[in-house]
Amino acid sequence: MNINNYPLKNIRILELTEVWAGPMGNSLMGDLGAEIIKIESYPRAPITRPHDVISARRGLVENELSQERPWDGYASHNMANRNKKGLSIDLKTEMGKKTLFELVKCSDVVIEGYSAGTMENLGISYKTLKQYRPDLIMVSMPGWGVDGPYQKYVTLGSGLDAFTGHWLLRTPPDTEPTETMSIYHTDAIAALNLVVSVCMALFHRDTKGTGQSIDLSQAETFIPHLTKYLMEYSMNSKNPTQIGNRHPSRAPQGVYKSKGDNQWIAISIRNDVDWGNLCTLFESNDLLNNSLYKNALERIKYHDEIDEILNNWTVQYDKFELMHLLQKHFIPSAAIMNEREIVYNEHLTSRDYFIKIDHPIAGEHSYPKNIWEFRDIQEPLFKRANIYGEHNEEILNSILGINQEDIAKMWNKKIIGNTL
Amino acid sequence: MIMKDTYKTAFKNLIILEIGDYVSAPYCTKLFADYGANVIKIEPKEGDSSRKSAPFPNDIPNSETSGLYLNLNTNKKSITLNLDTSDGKALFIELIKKSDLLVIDKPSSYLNKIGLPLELLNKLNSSLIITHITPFGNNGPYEDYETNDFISFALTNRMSPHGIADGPPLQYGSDVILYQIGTTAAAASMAAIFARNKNTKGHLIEISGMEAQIGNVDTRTVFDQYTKRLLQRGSVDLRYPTGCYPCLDGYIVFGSGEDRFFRRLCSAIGKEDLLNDPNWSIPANRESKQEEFETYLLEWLLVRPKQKVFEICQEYGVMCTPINQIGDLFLDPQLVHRSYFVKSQHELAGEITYTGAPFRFSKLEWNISSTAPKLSQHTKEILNKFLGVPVKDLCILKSNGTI
Repeated sequence: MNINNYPLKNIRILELTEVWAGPMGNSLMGDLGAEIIKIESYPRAPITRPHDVISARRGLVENELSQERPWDGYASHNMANRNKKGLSIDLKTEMGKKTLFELVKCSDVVIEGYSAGTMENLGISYKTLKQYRPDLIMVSMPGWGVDGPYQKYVTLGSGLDAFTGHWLLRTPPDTEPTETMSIYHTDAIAALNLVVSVCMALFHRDTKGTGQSIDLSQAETFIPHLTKYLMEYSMNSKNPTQIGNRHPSRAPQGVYKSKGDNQWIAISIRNDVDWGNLCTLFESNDLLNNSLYKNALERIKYHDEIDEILNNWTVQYDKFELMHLLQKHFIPSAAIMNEREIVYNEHLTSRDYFIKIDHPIAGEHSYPKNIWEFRDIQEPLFKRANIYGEHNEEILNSILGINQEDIAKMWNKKIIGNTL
Repeated sequence: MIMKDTYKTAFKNLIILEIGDYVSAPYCTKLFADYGANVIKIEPKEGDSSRKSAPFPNDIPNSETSGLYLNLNTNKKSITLNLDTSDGKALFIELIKKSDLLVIDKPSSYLNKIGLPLELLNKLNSSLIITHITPFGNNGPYEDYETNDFISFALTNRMSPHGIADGPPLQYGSDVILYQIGTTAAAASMAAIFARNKNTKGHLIEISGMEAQIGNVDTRTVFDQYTKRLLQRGSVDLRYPTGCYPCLDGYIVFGSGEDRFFRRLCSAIGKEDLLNDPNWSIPANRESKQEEFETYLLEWLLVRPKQKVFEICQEYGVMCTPINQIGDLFLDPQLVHRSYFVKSQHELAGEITYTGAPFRFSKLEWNISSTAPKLSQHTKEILNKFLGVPVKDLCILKSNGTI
């Protein structure tokens, strides 16, 4: 494969992150051609590498091999860790730390996702690592940033969703927030911002010759995505109202029943033109041609009524058949698909979006390819998720030049390992 | 004035063109503009549609004071250019020749129609990076589908597993998806800018909004393939306590009750004695005892305000967070400590609070050095000073509808 076209070729990144935001951000940089060395916690199991079957029962692939090595058969880990080499090492030991310092010397970037203070306690803060690599770029990406009262606080993406106000926005009207489910959207957003920030710092290093530290608060990467709500408060001191699937200024918008059990179609009428187009499909139905519904303000007022009429109509159709019909009439609509249907979706199939990848423990599955397409890169990189400890020898020997005898000592002293 | 060394950043020499509407492309270029790049926003004569979008100060619509527009277009320059005219196209090509990155969200069919296909732009300036944002990519059966933020979210596998138990599929906060698409575009663009430093050749990047969503980690596309079990609305498959619980003055969210967090939570709520009993201390044994545990938990939660619950739980290392209203963020102790929000005076909208830096560099400055431009505010400056169009020609361009 010709690596020359990959934008981050020849960049080496050391990743010390867990769960989703950091691992996914590093996978994305792996997609871009960077060499990612994932330093995994040992002997303590990383959060998405369950050490036994019981604690792994949710998300563990169903096969025999994964009963033996549950930490390698877990969806949560395998989907977020493509294009990486893994080194599982005990950084609490002197030898482990020394190995990390040696790796830092020949790396461009270090990324850590622990809560503030953890790296300092391990003796591997930016200040220390910089001594081994003066132009080092180092990202710290805790939930709320590296300073301030929450610097040591811990969270998953669901907590940041709650903190930023998005949880309440997702709570439909007349519903308690206790009914609303956890989502992990901020992980995706922090992953993207990690890529932007690292590439900016690499660009800066190339033009100015210096590395730097980056303080990435996962909460702060997502807050700007709530601009219109924040500005409403900033300008008019108003908190948003809960609107479910509706929209404050266009109507109708919603999710409607289609033929079959738990089958749905989303429809959004942006303006009077869309509305007119919808009405032409309803020739026989006086209600939709009702003059009361002619403009958006009225349609917002009579939204419940309109929804009932629409539901009675949409439920007669297969969701794909109806989407094709509505789109033919330029009406924004979507057949709502679950994760089983999406893999075989007509549009994505025509673009070869899913790629079948084999994994020695998990077996073969279809994974989504890159979230971007570079015209000059014919074949996107997709190296399956690393097995725990898979590249210990390769990294220690080929990159650091440690001889086999010394590596054997590290195995024996349990400084490195490949089982949990 | 453009090209002037006003920023102490590595980006001061970058020229970025934006032909983009509403949120995705403007948010992409904002990420660069706020760190010092020169962003020229090319608007149609009626302006970016975000200018017509709420909120407005005192709810009075004005195309120069939309809060959405103002926050998304800080530090940019606005010119109007009619790409349907031959003079407009010629000026655009001159801009292309002098630029480093073009972020554009127009469909390929439109660009072909006006005679400006991306391949041509690429030929005119081989070091130019082009990032093309479309809802569904530049081929395939849905390429020309009609969409907006709601439909683009629905036409993935993201809406299906999101909602209340037994309820219909549900959207996220409106527009949120568009920011994700814009940030995806920014990540690919920035990687290409870095790469071009070395080999001088620009990349042509296609961003499909659909794939930007499906390919990211929170969409959990492979879970069902691994476990033969579809994700269900209302449930998240993590050990209790997970999700939202009431407290004295509102609600809090727990991340997960995995063993180490469960143990810490027992300590936080004064129930560490439970852990002496194997019925509680062994994770498998406690699975059937959710209701009993929640009785203890609620007893503790319901007499404490959310911020207090948050602080106590976090002292013990429990993944617990308050559910905030949007307005709470402006007073949040952490965001206040970090001076996250930034106030800036706008000529027509007055003093407004803007969102702050999404990430902080030790050696790269983020700031709002100029508020969002008025429509066409910099047309004369860019055409005359940057492209060298004589002032007398500007009058002609104006009268023939080019600018």
